[in-house]
Parts: sequence; C-alpha cells; structure tokens
Amino acid sequence: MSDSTIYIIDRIVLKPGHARAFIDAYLSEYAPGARERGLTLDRVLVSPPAWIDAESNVVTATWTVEGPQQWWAAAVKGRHDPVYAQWWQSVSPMIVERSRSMAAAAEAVEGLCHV
Amino acid sequence: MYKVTRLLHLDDTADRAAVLRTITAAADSIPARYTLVAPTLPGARNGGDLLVHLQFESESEWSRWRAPIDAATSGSSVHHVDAAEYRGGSPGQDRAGRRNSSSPASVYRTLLLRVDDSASPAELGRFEHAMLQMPVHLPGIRAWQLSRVAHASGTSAWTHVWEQEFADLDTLLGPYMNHPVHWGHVDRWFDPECPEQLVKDRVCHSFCAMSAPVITDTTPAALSAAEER
Repeated sequence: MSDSTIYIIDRIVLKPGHARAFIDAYLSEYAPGARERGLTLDRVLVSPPAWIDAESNVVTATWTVEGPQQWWAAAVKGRHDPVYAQWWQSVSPMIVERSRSMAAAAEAVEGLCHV
Repeated sequence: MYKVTRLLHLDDTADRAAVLRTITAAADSIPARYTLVAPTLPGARNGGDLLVHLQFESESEWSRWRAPIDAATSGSSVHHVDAAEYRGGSPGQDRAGRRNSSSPASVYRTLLLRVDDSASPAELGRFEHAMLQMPVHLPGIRAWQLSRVAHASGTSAWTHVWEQEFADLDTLLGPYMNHPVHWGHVDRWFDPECPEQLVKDRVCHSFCAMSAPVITDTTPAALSAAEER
C-alpha cells in the first residue's frame, strides 16, 4: 500500500446466526459492484472467528482506493445509483448495527492533509 | 441580511448572454444591498447555467422589490430554477466567518442541500458542526456561512445553504475536495451507504467568478495562528 492509500471500512454487527449468510451476500452481491466502482477488497475479518450459536459476529470488511481522486470517482459512481442503498436495506434484517468509516495509515495523515 | 439565491438551468437553445443581460438589468433596477449575477463555472454539478445571488436588508425589502427578478428569472429560456431564501447564518452567530487574507477571493460557491425530515436535532447539530469545521482545516476558504433556508423551491425543499468564497477555482476543485476532513468526515452525511446519511436528495453544487466579497455579514473568524496559514 502507498502513502495515499485510503481504507473504506465497513463494520457490521450481525444478529446471532446470520454472519455466514451476510458474508455470502456481501461477497456475491455487493462486492462485484464495488469493484466496478474502483474499490479493491483488502480483507474481510470475522470476530470472533467462530460460528457460535446465540452469539453475534462482527464482520469488518476493508476496501482500498489510491488517493482522494480515486475515492471521489468511486463515490460519485455510487452516489446517485439507488442499487447500493437498496442492497444495504435488503440485508438490514440480519444487522444489529453497522458503520462505514474512512481511514489511512497513521504515517500518511500529514501527507493526506497537506493538500 | 436576507439573501436570495437562484440557480437557473437554461434551455440548450437559450441565448445565455441575453438572459444574463436581462437578469443583470433587472438586478440593477432594484436597490439590492448586494448583487451577483454570473455564469456558473465548469465543474459545477447540478448547479445550473447562471447563478443569481441578491441580498436585502430584510425579507420585506425583498418582497417589495422582487417583481423584476421574478420576471427575469422565469423567462421562456429558463427551464428550471432551484432557489433558496434565507437569513445569512441563522439561527446562530457562529455559522459564518472570514479569514484574514491579503489576497482577494475570486470564486463564490454555494451548495443547496436538503436534510431529511427524519434527522433528529442532535443529528442535525452534529452535521452542521462538521460542516463548519471545514474552514478550520482549509485555508483556501476565505469566507463561509452555513444558513438554514426560510423559503425554497426547485427539485427539493432545500433546508440549508453552504456558501464559501475561495481563493481561486483550483482551491475549490483541489484542496477543498481532496482534504480528508471532506471525504473522510463530512461526506458521511451525504453518502447513501453510510448510516449517518442525512442529505438524501441530490445537492446543487454551484460556483461562479466574483469580483467583490459576497459573504459580508460576518467578522474575521477567531481562528488560531496555525489555522490562519
């Protein structure tokens, strides 16, 4: 990863027993469109890394883009396409809560802010 | 100050120079406290072809003098208008600022947006606070004002106007867009994939050249020395 790599982080708390179905849907339904917009899937983490009855799993999916211009290019492609918001709505029955945040390597912050 | 902004989308066949002359003449015929009538610059998104911005002492003053403006901005060449009327900076006194700078600003930018009705007062407060953090991080923003809309028309029932004066067009299209405070912080309220999204309709992002300060009902902001870069 370069100093200008931006990480787009989805953190999803799933209802007990729904994590595997959510990950399947995320990878098969959501990820292809995200890749078409220019995002690169870095990793999908599961915590705890076990399927335990009656316990929630937290899924953390991390995407990357190279720099703000690529970030905006991907954002603009999805901004006015209702497909993405509709997809999140479709999986909402499986979700307790979720967040999306933007991040960068700590050593990259100064450079990113020096625009 | 009572402010009126109209973003005019003209027909493809319209004589833009003629429409500009008509509206300029109408604006010059009334005693507005400030008048800006100009073509929008390349890069505007849903911002129209002409930007009309007028300022009056009060809403009643605008009501008294609006007829020529209404007529000039509703001609046959105009196929759509997005418009907002507002008291600058209302309701707080901390929603506007001007950075001390020796070089004049050359670009005026206005953003019309609609915050969804479902937003709670707390969410609205966080959103407005985040918007007002942007000038702190972006010295190219020479003046700014976030206002709640009193009367709106057009594609959406606009709730807010976010205005800035920029040093130049490169500052608006470069540092303003590329700073992490924009895409990494504020944009969450505009992003349909973020749970925090409050601005669900398409915004009007419009800007034009300016020759004199537009956001004048403010005082130099109390920015720190570091922020005054």
